[in-house]
Amino acid sequence: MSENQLQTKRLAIVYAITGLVVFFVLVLLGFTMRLNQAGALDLPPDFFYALMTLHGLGMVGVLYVAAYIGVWYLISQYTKPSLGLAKFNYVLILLGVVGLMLSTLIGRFGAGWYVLYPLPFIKTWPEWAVGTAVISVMLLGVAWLLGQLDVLRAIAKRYGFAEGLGWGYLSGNPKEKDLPPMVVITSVSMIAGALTTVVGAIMLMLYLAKWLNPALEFDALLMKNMVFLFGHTLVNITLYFGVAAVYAMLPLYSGRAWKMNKIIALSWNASLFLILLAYFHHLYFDFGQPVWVQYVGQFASYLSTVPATVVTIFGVFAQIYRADMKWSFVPLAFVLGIMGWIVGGFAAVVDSTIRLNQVLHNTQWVPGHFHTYFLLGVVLMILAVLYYLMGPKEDKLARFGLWSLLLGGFGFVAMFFIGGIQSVPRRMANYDSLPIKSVAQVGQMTAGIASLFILLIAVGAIAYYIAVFKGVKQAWSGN
Amino acid sequence: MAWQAGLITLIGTMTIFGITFWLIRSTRSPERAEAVTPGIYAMRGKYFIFLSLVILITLFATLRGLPYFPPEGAAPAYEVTVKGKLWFWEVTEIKALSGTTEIAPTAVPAGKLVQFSISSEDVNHGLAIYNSQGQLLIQTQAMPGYPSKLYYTFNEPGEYFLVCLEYCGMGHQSMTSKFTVL
Repeated sequence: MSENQLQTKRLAIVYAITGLVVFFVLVLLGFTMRLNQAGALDLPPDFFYALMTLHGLGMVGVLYVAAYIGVWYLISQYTKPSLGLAKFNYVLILLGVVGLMLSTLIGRFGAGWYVLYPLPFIKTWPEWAVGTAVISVMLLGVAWLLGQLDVLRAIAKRYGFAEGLGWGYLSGNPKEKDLPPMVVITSVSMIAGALTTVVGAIMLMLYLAKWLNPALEFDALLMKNMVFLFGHTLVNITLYFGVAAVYAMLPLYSGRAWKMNKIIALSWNASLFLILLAYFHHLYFDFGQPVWVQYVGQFASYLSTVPATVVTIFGVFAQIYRADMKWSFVPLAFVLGIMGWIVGGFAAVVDSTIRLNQVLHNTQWVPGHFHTYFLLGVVLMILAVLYYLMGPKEDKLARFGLWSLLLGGFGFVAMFFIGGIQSVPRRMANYDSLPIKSVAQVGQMTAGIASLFILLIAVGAIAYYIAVFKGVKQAWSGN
Repeated sequence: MAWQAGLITLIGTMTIFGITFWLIRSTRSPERAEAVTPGIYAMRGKYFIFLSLVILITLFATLRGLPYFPPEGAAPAYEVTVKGKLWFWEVTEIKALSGTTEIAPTAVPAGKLVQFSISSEDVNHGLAIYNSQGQLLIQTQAMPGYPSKLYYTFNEPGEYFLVCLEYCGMGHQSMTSKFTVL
């Protein structure tokens, strides 16, 4: 292992350990929120919403960064992303996280992860908390954008921009005969990420301007479009980073090559457009949107299932079906992660049907589906990459942790889905004030049962952590 | 409607579970990739056609009767004006539209198409109408600067509830109101 490779691995380990610790703390925040909704705790609503804001922003952020660093580490086998920039970004991200903690836990800033304009500027939390939150998210955005552009630069330098996007395969004349599919997936994801992070940055600058000059007024619908284009895409590419790792690593365990071809190139290039259009489904009930945009939202959401299932799922089939492989932790976590991704995606597509969304929008169905593809999808994929990065060979305890997490995770999300079917609203500190007692009771009961399932998730996470941390010392030395 | 979503998702989830565990089990009898992949790719072609058909049919079936327009051929008989404010709903007016008779200033008649005119005076709210059994019937956003209209015919007399479904700050969970259908 060269010195650069060793330094790359060590930095990835630093990111990984930080990410795992932050993830666990954020799980505990989620546990606290569900206990409060169950009626077992009695947190003041403003504190609950501050925790909700930190949990939402924190989870989206930590999973994005963890998935990014996984891809960054894997792609460094083929290209040379900047080590110095990744170190700089680590500091920026830490500053952003500390700022968000100050803003929410001390300032009780609680506008939700999506800071829907003009909610951040109502006077129920101190002004310094608003400014701190906006600047903190800006720091994170700068780090993410720089990271995205750097990986794109590294890919373009090694393969050329067009070739990195697989366009050579589209034209039938690839210059790079052995282009790893993960390069194309990463290029597509980084482009979508960079474009929409710029949109997010513009929105945050407007927020900053409003914070400095409260007399300024902006269009609420435009701001909502901007925040969901940014946020939806960030979540989407986090999932794609996980999938990129599956493309890169499953062949190591199945013993079967997963080669680039025209269909893979076509499918992932199509995904680039579908990602950018699907976010409209977040605004189905904003009647100020042109109606044709709502149709586009459902259309793009449905079409996004084509590349995901036709290409990736059948690719996984071709990797695994009757392959001569042992189900150690890493491939098992990848395959179960793909399963969670598809289940969550299926529930998301159901929710993206306007007529069904009419009774599911902003109910607990929504956290149901995104916790499924996050917790049971991309988290498992990230845990697989991190185990590959630093876990020891003996993985029995990690596999126990995986099954505990899977069982707890599906029980946990099932409570959200049941709540959604029973019209239980999401994002409510408690259900005591709801005048419809049947809905309040279901909300409290499902939150209580979900809390028990979170304990299983925590047991699974702790088992995994103990297992993976045993290998850190050896991984640090480069073995 | 929500039950349909739940049933479809449950069936889909069980199918995905089944396929995944079948796939994992298949590795107990290993075979060379060259022997199995042609069959998988042949199946992929069929799946592509199947999925495309399902998408087309579902889009055709579901992209109608959307909440952006009043139901076809029906004119609203009553209008209910609702304003969202931090943190309460104010039903400012219930009035009969042309050709109908107002029956009570605080109630909506059953069996008539009602137009809700919704606006927000401060931040984004989400107006959802629940029946007394706790079923969410219909909803829309109340966005500042973008008043919206929602149409619904209440077939059952009784109490109905307005619940805010868009997170709007520390009083969000108590932003509810109710009205009567006679």
